[in-house]
Amino acid sequence: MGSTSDVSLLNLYYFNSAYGPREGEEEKKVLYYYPSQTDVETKIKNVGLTEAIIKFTDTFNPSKPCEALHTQKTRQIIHQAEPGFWAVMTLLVPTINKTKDGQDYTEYQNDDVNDSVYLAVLKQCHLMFQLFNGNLTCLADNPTQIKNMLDQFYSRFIPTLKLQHSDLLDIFAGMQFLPLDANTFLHVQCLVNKVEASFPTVHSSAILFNDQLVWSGIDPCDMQLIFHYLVTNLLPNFLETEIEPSRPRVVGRYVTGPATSAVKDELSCSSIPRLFLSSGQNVYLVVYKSMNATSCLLLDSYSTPTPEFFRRLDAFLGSRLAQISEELAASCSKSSIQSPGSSSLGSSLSPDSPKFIYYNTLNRATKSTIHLDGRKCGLVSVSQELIKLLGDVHSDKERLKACSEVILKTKNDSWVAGKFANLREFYVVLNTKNANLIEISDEVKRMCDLHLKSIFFTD
Amino acid sequence: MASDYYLELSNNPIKFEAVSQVTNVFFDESNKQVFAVRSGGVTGVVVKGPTEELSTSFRMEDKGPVISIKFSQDQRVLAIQRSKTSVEFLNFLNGIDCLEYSQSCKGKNNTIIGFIWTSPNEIVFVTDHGIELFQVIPERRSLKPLKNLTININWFVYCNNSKLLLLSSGAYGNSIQPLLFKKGGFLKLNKFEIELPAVPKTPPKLCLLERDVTLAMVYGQACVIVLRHIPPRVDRGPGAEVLIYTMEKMLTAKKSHLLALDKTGRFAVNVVDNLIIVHHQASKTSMIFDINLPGETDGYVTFHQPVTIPLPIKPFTLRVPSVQVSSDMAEVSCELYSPNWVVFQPDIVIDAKLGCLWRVELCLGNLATVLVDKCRLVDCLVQRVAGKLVLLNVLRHLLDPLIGTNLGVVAEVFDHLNEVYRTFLEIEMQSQMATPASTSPFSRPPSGPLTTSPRAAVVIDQSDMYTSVFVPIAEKAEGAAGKFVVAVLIEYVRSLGDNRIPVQHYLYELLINTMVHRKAFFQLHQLLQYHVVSDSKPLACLLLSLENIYPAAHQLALDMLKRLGTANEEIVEVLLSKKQILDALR
Repeated sequence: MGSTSDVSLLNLYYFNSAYGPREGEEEKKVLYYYPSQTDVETKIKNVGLTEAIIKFTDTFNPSKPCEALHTQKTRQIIHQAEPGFWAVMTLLVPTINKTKDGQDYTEYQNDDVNDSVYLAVLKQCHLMFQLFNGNLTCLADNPTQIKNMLDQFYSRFIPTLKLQHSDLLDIFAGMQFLPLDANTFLHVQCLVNKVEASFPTVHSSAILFNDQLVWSGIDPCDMQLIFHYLVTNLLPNFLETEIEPSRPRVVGRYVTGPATSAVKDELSCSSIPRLFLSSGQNVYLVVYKSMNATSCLLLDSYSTPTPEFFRRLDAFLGSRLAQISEELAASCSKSSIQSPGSSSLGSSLSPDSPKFIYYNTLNRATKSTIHLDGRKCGLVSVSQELIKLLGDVHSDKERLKACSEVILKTKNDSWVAGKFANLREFYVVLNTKNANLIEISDEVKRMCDLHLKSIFFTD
Repeated sequence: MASDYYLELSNNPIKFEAVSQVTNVFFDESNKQVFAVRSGGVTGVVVKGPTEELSTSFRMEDKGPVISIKFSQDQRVLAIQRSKTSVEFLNFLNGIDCLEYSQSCKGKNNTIIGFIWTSPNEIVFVTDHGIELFQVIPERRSLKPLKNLTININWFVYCNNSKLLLLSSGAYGNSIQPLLFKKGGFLKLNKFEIELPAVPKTPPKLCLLERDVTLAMVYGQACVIVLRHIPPRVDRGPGAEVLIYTMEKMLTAKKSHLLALDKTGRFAVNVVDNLIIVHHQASKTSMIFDINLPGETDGYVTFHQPVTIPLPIKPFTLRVPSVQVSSDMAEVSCELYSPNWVVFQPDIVIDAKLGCLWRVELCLGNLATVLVDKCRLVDCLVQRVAGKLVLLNVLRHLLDPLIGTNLGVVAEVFDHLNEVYRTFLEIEMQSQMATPASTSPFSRPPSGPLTTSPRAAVVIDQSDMYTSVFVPIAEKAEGAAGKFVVAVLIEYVRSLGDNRIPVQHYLYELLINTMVHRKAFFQLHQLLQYHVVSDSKPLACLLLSLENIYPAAHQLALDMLKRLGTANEEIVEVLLSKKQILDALR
């Protein structure tokens, strides 16, 4: 077996045809281009090609614009981010170098690139951009500012894209909820209420424990984005700074906002990220962490938070959040001892035990025993091949009815099952050798009973 | 201002003939009767009690000045003390029997300090050298000695509710011998000493006086309430204080509470509805103390501050016949805290010059406005007999969304309320298991002499909260206030949960409706997801009806029906209505 290459990003660009309608003005259409060192000629040519493809395909199906362009070596994903504004991402298809008859040649693994996964990634990119910068449409008459903003955002965002680890979960872009007993949940809820009542500028807030969501009062569309920003970006980075031994141990600290709670200068307060919510509101994002619990507060932006505010908030939240964190930790360890599902969850680390991914369309809750954490680090417990297969099962779902079931067997004797009912999706990966369809079907049923016993899931 | 008092005198005082040169007035604490004796009884004895049956008038021969006069508890025998060595008796079997019979004390040189009817036909003489218990046999007009005890006695205090007699002995008067009276005898309880603020070196003299010691039932326990005046030479001290010894298990007295008065001068003590009320004459104010409220403690003694600021009793006006026009009634305002006041237990104030007997009463509504600390207020109201309505008012005010009370306070208040609620439920459950159904827990007196922790007088349960507090505030809530109402409801559900009290479905319904009203669907979804709201068919139906405004409610409703396990028919019906025939068939 020769060397292999993973899927990787060739380029990513934004254009709007309206900015350069005349010949010779083509350069003006390009709003952003990665990699930036690309020469103008290539930029114009690629944008032109995409424009042409969009135009051409439009004649066949005007209701749904072209989404992907397949070539032998590349895959282009096209997404109309906002009316007139197009975002395009071109990926290099993964390859395997093989030798046949003493001759080296490269085999392109076109089937390994799932359009819906990467379309979801591209959409997510733009939503994230919107979260921090607002709609492009609002700035339509100021292309220079658009260029600056896109440049600023993507220069930081592209390095965090983990395209090789993108999979089914990117399509869902769901949130992991922490399983919790009602009373502990109520304690969290009461803390949130107290914070919001004591600090009226807090527009809404959410509480996370480790990488899992405990409570959110934020609109689910925005929460989904904020959740991913926190879990894949902000918190892991913060964790690294926290590990530094030179830092003094304090009860709680601001993840965004002033570096220490004893802030004096106004400057550190002005560096808080501002978010543009889907409702059109503009808010400050303040994230505060105490032990393993994270409080994510959205502040109304009509007044800049003062150092005084941060001091008060720190005094209020520090110990309370730490207490909740302890309570959550206790509750988690308790439930993992008690619940019968835990035994299978614990053993799920071994590669042969059954794994599942669960997604609920309505509250965007996901749960996966395939992914070992929510940070997209590629820590998965089944083979890449199977994960890609899951993406394909999902793509096939479109053609099925609302309530259905799919069972597949792979070449190396693994089984993949997908069940869809009541707006929920449940995927199971089984590594049972020499099993027949009936056994697999029974096993899937058993897992449903085990993990989804409290919900309505037709079987 | 209407709220500058929290104590008042009863509306209809018992009027009696005022003390004068010819009239002597006596008061019997046990029967709450006032005796106005005119000219030694020749021109009449008028007895006024709290009821008609306990009021009477009669004449008797004048055989010298009366020292003390008391009816037996069944009103059949009247005991009159006219000398230091004997007590005379008069039968009241069918009207007055003019034949007096007499009983003198046993010891030759003993002086009778006083006498007490301890049961309908038993009387005890307290002399300076001991006590003598007699049985009175009115039919034979004689007394039969039952039991006696020799002890040097300075003075005594008796409480008819607890049948407890305290005898002061010793040179300083602070050595106390408690006796517990039972039919036909008495029990000697453990002797104890009351701490004195300063003991004079020579010569020993009586330091603890009768007027400074009060015996009363507080929260079902007999308490010795001692006023402690700080002597002048240690002035700049904290002022006078009140020491309380509780009779534990009716056996041993233990120093348990210390009330800081922060004032000096003349004080008087009443006990009203288990609150200890200390009247201060110089400032013409009264303080109230609740020994059940938490206070600083050193492990043995709990230190208490007044429940709230000292305030005067509500001014009282007496309607008296006008001097000028006889048909008119003039209003005369009475002097409060007058030097003529005499205070009796538990709640009686007598103005002997005015000829009035009042009961001291609490105005809880005003107390609620005066007391700023809402948690203390709730703790205090929970123990008051008439506290429920006031408490509900307080809660309604506290949770008014327009006032926006701090949620931390709300949480604490709920926790306090529900702790009481839980205790109540536990007691109820125990009594249901322990005793047959015929004896309900309510037939028992609310606090027997042996209960250690006082049982709350007021229990605010979920239905009270729902109908009297939550529904009114939810109706008022609009816009941003809805958020507060949701927070309050969640806080209440949490508090119930923490106290392991199952939550009634109507609270959930209100919570869900309020959230729906606010369009806080995602939050509602999370509540259901974490099973904060318990499943039920009505709730599932409520969710189904919300489907049009929040599509996910459909899924939640189906989940809930599934969990109930008994609702397969409903599930099929729902699916059919959605034209999901295949699903329904499965």
